[in-house]
Amino acid sequence: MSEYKIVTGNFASAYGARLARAEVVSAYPITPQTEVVEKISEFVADGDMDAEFVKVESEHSAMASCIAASATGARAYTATSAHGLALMHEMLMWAARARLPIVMTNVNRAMGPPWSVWADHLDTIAQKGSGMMQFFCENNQEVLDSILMAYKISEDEDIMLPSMVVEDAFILSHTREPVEIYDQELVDDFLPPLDMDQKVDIEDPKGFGSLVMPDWYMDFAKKLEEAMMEAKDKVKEVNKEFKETFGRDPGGLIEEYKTDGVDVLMITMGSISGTSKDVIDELRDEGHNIGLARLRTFRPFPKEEIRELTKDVNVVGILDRSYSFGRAGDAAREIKEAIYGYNSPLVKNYIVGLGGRDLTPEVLELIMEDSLELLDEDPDQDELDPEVEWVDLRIDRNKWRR
Amino acid sequence: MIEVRFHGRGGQGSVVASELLARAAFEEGKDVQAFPMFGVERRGAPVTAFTRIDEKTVRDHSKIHEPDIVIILDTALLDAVDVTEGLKEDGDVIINTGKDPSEMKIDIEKDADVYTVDASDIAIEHGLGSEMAPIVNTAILGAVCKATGMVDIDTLSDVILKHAPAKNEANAKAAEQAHDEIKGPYPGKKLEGREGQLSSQQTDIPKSEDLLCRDPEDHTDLPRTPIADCDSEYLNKTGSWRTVRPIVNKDKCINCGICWKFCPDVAIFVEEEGAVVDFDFCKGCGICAEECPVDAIEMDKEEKYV
Repeated sequence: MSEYKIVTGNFASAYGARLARAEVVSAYPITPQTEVVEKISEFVADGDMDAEFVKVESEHSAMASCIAASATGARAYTATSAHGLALMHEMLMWAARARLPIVMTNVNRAMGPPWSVWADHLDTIAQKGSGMMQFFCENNQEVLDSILMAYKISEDEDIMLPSMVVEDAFILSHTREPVEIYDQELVDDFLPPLDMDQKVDIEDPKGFGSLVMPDWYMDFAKKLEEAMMEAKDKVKEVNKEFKETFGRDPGGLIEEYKTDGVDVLMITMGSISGTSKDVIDELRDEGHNIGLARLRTFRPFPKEEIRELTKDVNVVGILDRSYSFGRAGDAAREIKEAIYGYNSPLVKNYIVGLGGRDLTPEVLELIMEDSLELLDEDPDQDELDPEVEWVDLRIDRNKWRR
Repeated sequence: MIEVRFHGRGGQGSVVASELLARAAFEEGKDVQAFPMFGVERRGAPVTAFTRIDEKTVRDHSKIHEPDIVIILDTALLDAVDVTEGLKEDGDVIINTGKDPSEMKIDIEKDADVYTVDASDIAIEHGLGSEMAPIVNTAILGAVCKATGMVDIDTLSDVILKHAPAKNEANAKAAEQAHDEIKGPYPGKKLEGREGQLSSQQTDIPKSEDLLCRDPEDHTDLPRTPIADCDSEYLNKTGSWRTVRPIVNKDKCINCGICWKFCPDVAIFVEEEGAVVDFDFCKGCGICAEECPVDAIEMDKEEKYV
């Protein structure tokens, strides 16, 4: 029987791994991810989850254990955050190139120094080229839902790529919300046991991931990219199946919120999206023609959907909770690249909430009003000034307060 | 939408209180959210927790800056934290104290209603926590039900029976008793306020900008990466975390220095007249009292000395 529990994003992750019947869990604790691992070790110790819990000495080893487990055909899960993910970097690359359907939670947190344990997407975004799929969640229910969907997408024989489910530090990881913990049988029907065609088998020894010469490496890389491209349709397909099974729509590649015929389109990722939707409702009530798209799947990147959404839009305001030093926010950069040669709205990038800085409805409304004001600008100008704006810095706080 | 803020100390159960209240409202068909202040928790340190309750889906994931209701689990915090910061004009303040609301020394320049309930006494009566450190969260929630009508006391009792981490029946009974014994409302504006209610202890705590740059408005003054002076720990007066304090009986003290040896915070010194506690840094852990070979140190409730 399905039941509602009031749980944190971290517990939603743990329940997700349990419902998915992960067989091997290997992880190393780090704030703010720790409770994911604590809860799973409790499940395993109490006999509520039939998994091998492998204690390791680092995140690098945690992913290495998952890779070994997954290579034998076991469903593997891990979770980490920020510096832990950075330490895992080499193994993330390996998991993707070995084409292993591992699913992990990353509780995104700022990289230090300055030392910080609060929300920031850079840890995840820095792994965008790893070959892992990335799903950014808006709330705790979506964290659980995304883990179930991620396994189904990752384990599809046409995909076979690892996935990262992303929850915002503290804002989701430590916030309790009602989450439906689905009936196990229903989940079992949705997500059958993993059945890999190629796996490590002691009865039939073979070498995996061996050396290839320069005249072959590139072809394997292209094969990985083809799987990524294929995954776009798979995300949509699995999202549809999820909705039919569980009656809930996690948002597929990109969630559209009141986007029909809008002049101004705001684009967000993660937990700020819910607060932003409340503000969109207020502005629409005041008569502004504004809508919101939530970029849920960052890898693979939904460029076709972005093109379609921005077709008749005059202004696009993109909120990035991370910054790629030397250029701009990554969502903005990639969205601009996706629409180049197709549509030409004015595009402005807002850098927000780094290191957990709070995004109040007030600040979000001022951002959206700033985008609405761009409707009066010359649409043919080459570049906005500023093209990238850092929001709510201490030095110009008055600008972002009523 | 109703937004609630809890002020307590690590170990008193503020975070569990925010969750139980959310659970009770959820059982009555509301959507809810409960979260602690996103910091680094320590037993004894001031803790803030929040609950959001709404008829509609709660999508807002920002912090709560203007609560409708403030719940204070520990009166010693009245001197350490600006508990009514951002409180809505017609809000409610519910305080755990044996005093009548009219006797509260708390500065509220708002039309807020003030209630009091002796949740500590009720918790002790029901065996929740110890006499020195009662766990008051469930009792105060019972009072909150009565004061605000946010959730029904029967729903709360059910939720406590099902979801309290321990001693469920005693906790439910404590909530029901507090529901019946709450005093108030008393108009906040009529309270005898004190000028500058923050104690010197708290105002000494440096704000982060003081540690980072001389002029917080001037970015050019910000160092490339944060650099703290080696004595910055002296600026953070951890004595504000204390809920109980050591009282030294100078007649019994034999100046042996055992307390000084065992104090994990180097907050007790032996001088000619006996052991002397540095209350700026003593966290009230009680190790000195435990280790004293002649029982010259006793722990006593902090609120008596505030």
